[in-house]
Amino acid sequence: MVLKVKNIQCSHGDELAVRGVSFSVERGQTVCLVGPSGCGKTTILKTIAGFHDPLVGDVIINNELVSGRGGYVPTQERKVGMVFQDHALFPHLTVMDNVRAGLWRKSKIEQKKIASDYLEIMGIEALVNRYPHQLSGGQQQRVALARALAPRPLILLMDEPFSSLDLDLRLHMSQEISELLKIHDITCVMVTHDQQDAFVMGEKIGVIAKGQLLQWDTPYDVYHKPATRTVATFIGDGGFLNGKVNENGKIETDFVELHTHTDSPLRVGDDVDVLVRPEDVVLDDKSLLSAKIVKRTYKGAEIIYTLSLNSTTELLASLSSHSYFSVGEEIRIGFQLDHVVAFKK
Amino acid sequence: MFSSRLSLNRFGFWVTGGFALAMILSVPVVSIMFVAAQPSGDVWDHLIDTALLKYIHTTVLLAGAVGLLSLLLGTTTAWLVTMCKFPGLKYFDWLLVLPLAIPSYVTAYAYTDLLEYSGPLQTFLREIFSWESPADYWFPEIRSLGGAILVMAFVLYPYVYLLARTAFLEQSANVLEVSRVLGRGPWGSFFKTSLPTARPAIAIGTSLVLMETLNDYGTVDFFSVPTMTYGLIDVWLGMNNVAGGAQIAASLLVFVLLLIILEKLGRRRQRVYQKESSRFAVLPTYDLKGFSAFLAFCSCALPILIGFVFPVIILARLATIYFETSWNKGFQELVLNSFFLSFLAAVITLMIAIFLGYCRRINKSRMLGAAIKIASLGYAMPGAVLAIGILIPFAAFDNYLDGIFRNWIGISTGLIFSGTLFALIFAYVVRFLTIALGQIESSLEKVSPSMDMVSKTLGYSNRGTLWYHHMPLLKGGVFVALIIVFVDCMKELPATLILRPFNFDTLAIHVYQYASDEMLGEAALGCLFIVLVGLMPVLLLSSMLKKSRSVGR
Repeated sequence: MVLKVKNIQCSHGDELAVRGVSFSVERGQTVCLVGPSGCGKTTILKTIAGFHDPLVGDVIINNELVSGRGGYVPTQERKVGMVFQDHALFPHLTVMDNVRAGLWRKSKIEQKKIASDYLEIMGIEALVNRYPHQLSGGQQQRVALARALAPRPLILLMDEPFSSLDLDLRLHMSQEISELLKIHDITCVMVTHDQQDAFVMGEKIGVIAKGQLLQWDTPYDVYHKPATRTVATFIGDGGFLNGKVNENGKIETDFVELHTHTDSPLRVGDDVDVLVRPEDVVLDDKSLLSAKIVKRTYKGAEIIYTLSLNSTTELLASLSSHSYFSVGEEIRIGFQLDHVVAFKK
Repeated sequence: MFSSRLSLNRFGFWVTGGFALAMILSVPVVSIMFVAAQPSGDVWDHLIDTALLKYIHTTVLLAGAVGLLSLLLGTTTAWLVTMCKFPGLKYFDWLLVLPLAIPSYVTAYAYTDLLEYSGPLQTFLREIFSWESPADYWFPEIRSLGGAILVMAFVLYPYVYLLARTAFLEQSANVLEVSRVLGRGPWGSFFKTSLPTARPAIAIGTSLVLMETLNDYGTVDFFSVPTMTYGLIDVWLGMNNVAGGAQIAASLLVFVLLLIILEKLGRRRQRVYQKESSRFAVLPTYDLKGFSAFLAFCSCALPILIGFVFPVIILARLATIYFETSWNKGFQELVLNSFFLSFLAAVITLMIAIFLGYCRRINKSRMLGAAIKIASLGYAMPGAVLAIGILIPFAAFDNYLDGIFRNWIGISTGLIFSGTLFALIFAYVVRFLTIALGQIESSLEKVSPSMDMVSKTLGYSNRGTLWYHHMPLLKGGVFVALIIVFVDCMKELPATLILRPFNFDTLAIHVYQYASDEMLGEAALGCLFIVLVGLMPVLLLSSMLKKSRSVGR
């Protein structure tokens, strides 16, 4: 384990911003903390970096207690690297000098060599003599990353690293950086409010809301097996069907009957909400179930329809762009629920 | 409220250091307040019986009239320059600041030379009309309360001008257009829309003018206008009545506190009225033609002529006449003395400002903030009051130290603090700290906090972060602040007069002493020097104004 966060609680002003969060990160792993803004995820990151003291709980980096139990190792001795949303490049230094900034303990020759290596890794060796204001957003990001990685930190911390980039560049950068971190075996904790970034980058995702860690899982499980309703609504879209668990252990909804998981904690007679993701809804001419189209959002390759099944149930359906319907039209639909996710009411 | 349990060992040096320094710098302000709160029976009664009421009366008259006149001058010129188009506009914009370069006592000396009985103007009139004696004609006496009012107003109005100009420039163009669409003409728009929204800024400017008026000693002394500052120095240095001086200082403090409140209120409301977003809006302007253009031209030209051009011409003429007698070794030494002292004080002030500014950046504790606020109240204190606030505790400390050394070692230490340059530099630091701190803090604010954090993760301590990553960015702000503080130290008169070590003269003291001896000719070269030095920050300010103007329009 490179990083262990044990039951930390942090205050932000007069409020408790982090309420007992624990997780651990293995060497070479990239984890993403996802949550809406103000959920406390950045506070967790700052606590790991040492900018924030936890009220309770420990932070352990490489088997050394750095925060907690009366101990405190200052940031500059923690060997963490950090990349910020605004990149925070030193405006008075060239790209080369920015990347060299963290190598001041080494000789000049070594500094140059290491910095050049990292500039090459990031593919920006041509920019060495430029100043930050002469760089594009993507280039600044690369410099910031090279600067953070050059001193070979134990952990790389990234706070919303992609949110200042435009959409195209963002996807490109997140894929590229994800590969780079893997190749160089870098441990990374990233904070983002954007689940797409988290899906691309994270081997593990921590979903945070109101200062609590709601789920710690792989991206696949966070999406398909959300632990709570909050996770289900924050990660991905979807709607809910009303249901009740019958004597056979199946969930009876107003429209279909569904299997439950064997490890499901639900009991007979429980009233439940069944999660239906947009891609779980399929067109089915033979189906007896019809739905009225309330709203249509065109997205190019796909179209998101808002469907009304009855007066209380609305679902989202993601259909291929070839299935083009008008608002008000009635269509026949079925469900393709490989993972039945039901929350007790 | 949750407290960070580790905050002390994290910021120990900076927080305790910053707090301690702020406390030390608060000593003069606190000791004056302490004196003010002391009941001291008969001294007080005696003062009230004799002079204090006269001092207060004169001060109120002077401050009221100077405030009103500079408010009128500053607001009118600022409005004309931002909202109207007329010939010369481009130059007036920054020329209107120039009077700030001249300390009011220098202007007072210049006009006295021009307007007194033996001056060129009256001599000229006498020759033309062949008058023989003062009894033959009437001529206004410049060395009077009225003269002091005029001199100070024409020197100090740029404070109002600067703040009002910014306020007008930052007013939302939309608001003004709406006001005109609603059927208000230029005058209606001015009184109902422009003026009320610029009011907080104008209030701040006026309160700064009044603080300077209370601070002035050179003018009122030369014109024999018995204000409280005049009385204070007269009672303290002239009559050697320490307690009496302290009591006048204490009552002067009441006025100062009122002004501080006025200024702070203004600043609070200013934040509401002046929104960043409207800064780049293009203001609707009135194209003035014919007579109204001429009127606008004169309204802007007059303050510049009276406040800057005439005094400089008079001084230059005098200085050339008396150049042989004035320009000697003693004078050159004096200039070097002044430069050295002011530069030293400016560097120390800047170092303290950087230290305190950075302390506040890395630790947001309210205690530290409050301590720094109290320490930086010195800018509002008249120099004479501040000097007394320094002299009382320092002298007490010196005596205490002297007593100890005499008892134990048998050696007298004399006046280590109160009688040396230390006290004088301390006074300069306290008085001008706010200017420097303001510059440093606004420079620091422009740097994203994530830069500090990155610097930490790259292995730099607080000191390393300040030195390697903030200082290079602060350079510009430090330079500007250094010049402003340097020049202010050069011009400073009342505190220097009280605190300077025996036989140590600055340029300002030299000028003051010659003027007191009615030797204006010999004083002129020194005055001209002060004006030249004073031009530095003003020209700097002008170039900034020109830039803001090109963006603002």
